[in-house]
Amino acid sequence: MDKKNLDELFRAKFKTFQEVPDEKVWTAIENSLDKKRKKRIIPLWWQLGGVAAVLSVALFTFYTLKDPGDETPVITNTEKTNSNDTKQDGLDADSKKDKKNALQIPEVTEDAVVNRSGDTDVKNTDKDSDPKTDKDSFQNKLANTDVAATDATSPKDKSTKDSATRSPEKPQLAKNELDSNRENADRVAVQGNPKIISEKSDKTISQNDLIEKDDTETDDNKKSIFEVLEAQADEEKIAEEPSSRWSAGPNVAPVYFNAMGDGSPIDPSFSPNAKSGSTNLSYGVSIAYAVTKKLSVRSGIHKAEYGYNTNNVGFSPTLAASTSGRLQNIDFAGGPRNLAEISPNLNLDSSNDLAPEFSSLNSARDGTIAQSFGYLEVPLELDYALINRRFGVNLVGGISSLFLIDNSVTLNSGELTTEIGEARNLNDLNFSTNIGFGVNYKFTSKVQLNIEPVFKYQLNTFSNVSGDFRPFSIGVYSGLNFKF
Amino acid sequence: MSLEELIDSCKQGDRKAQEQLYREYSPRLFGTCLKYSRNKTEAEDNLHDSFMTIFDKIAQYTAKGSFEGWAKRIAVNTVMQKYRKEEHLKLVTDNFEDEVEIEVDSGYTDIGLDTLLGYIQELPNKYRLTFNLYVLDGHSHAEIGALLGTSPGTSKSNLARARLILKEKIEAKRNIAIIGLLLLLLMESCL
Repeated sequence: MDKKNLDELFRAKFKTFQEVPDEKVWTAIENSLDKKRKKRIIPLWWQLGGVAAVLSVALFTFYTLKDPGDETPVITNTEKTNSNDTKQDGLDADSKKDKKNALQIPEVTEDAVVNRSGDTDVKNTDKDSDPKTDKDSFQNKLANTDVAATDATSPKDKSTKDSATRSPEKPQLAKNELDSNRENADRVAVQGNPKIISEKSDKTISQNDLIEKDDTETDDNKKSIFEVLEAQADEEKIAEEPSSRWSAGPNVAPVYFNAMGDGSPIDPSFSPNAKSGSTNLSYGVSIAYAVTKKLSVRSGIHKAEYGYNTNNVGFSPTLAASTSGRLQNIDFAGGPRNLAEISPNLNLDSSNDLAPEFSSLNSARDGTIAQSFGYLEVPLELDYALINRRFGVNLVGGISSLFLIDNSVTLNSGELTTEIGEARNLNDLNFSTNIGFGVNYKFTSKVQLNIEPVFKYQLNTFSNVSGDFRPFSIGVYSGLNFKF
Repeated sequence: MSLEELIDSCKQGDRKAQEQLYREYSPRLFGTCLKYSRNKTEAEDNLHDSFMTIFDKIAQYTAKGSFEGWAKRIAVNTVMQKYRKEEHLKLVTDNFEDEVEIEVDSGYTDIGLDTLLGYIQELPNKYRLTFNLYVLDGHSHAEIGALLGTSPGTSKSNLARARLILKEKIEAKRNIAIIGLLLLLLMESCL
């Protein structure tokens, strides 16, 4: 057999192919491993720092808002969001600037390729000629002259296309800009830029089908990205790079409110009554700032409605209630105090088929006291990404400040609803500690959908509670998030 | 230290063990990186990235398969991730007759390994990756299609083109050799 398959030739040659890499590779790996070790410590400090920040802000707001009246909190909030906005603007401008820089880069690289193609060719021949025979170098030279020829034609094309004259200094200047941009990228550790650069430049290259040009081009890129890449070698590659740090978006959640313990927020006598939570809607906007790739701080403003029912309440119409203010925590708003006497009605057997109104003694009717309270909620939460890919999972923890804006107590019986008044013991400002986890899906690098079940434990909803009463809420917050 | 002990120490982040593992496996993985990359610099970069991933994910390595195979898969994936993005922009739509047996004279088997490596590295990304995966690493077209996010048909046509380019390069080298020889003979006869 005097002919041999091409595949076999390569297979035979590369069967046991190995080569000892340069020592600098291990040095680079060692450096990256060191950096990574340091990096691992940083998120912990960030977390601790974040918690400290949350606590100090919470305490500050608590003490500054404690003295003034009801309206102040809301005003301060709007100020807060305003200041956020201005910060955003500043950052937005920065990111725009970055984008601008990034956009200039393809031009630069193109120029660089065109201008430097001669140099790189020479370099190639030098490098290659060592291990190879003269024939090889001859071959390479042939190939290179091809390249040079095609390269030489391309700038002509370019100049005819671009009517705007390009001064020879321009690439140099642009290159400086690129350098400073790279420095910025390093300092801020925004990882998006280099990737953008490479993608963009690749795109421009792909338009020309010059493989060799491709080579020289990426060599240029390589040097520029190498250090950045090294620092991020451990990062998830599929993860969407945070192109900007700010994001915001609307969200909405069904919120279930209930309490642990069997006390009553209304009156000690209702402690033994059956109680039930109710589900209401919460909605608002949230804004987040990515401190690192994985950790972000977020805030926002939400309208939250909570509801809580005390069941099996007996009430009977009366002309004059025997005791005024019978329910210790309710501020009666006129009428019902004189019309109905409300008492815990435990004699009612709910399983009785007969209408309880008729079977009960004292002609007391069965009803439910429904309490509803609305808040403006300003959360301050830390969001830590466990998985940060197209589909992401994150942990959420933080606290919320809740400003009371709505407070009512109604008595419901069948289809009848009577407003009784409002709860006296609801604090105007209270806090909740929040913990939850979220799943998100990134439609694009800018838009993502979040679904977050969050458990919120209320710290001081009521100032005066009868018995053990620890309210909490569970909400499944879903919303869209836009990066900008 | 056995390989298991070495891997265990690496899982703890022991630098000495990491270095030993690197010394042991870097030549083979560098070979892989050289074949799959465009040039030596990129191969070094890819080797670096591969080892970073290996040390990062070593806790996930279960002793079921060979460690070398696992490490090599990481290296190949690292290289492919790098080049895949570029390839989205260059889609091959036309199909090529795939099962053309390309043969070269046995006289060319004396071509040096470095020269052949150079030819592979000079191939465009998709051809180089496909040729490596199919010919040198024995993957099927279906597997390659899945790895590169293309169809098996595209993989076949890429392979055919890769072979054609390689063949041309080898033949061009032969022609140059013949011309050289003739020139030499001519010079000798003149003298």
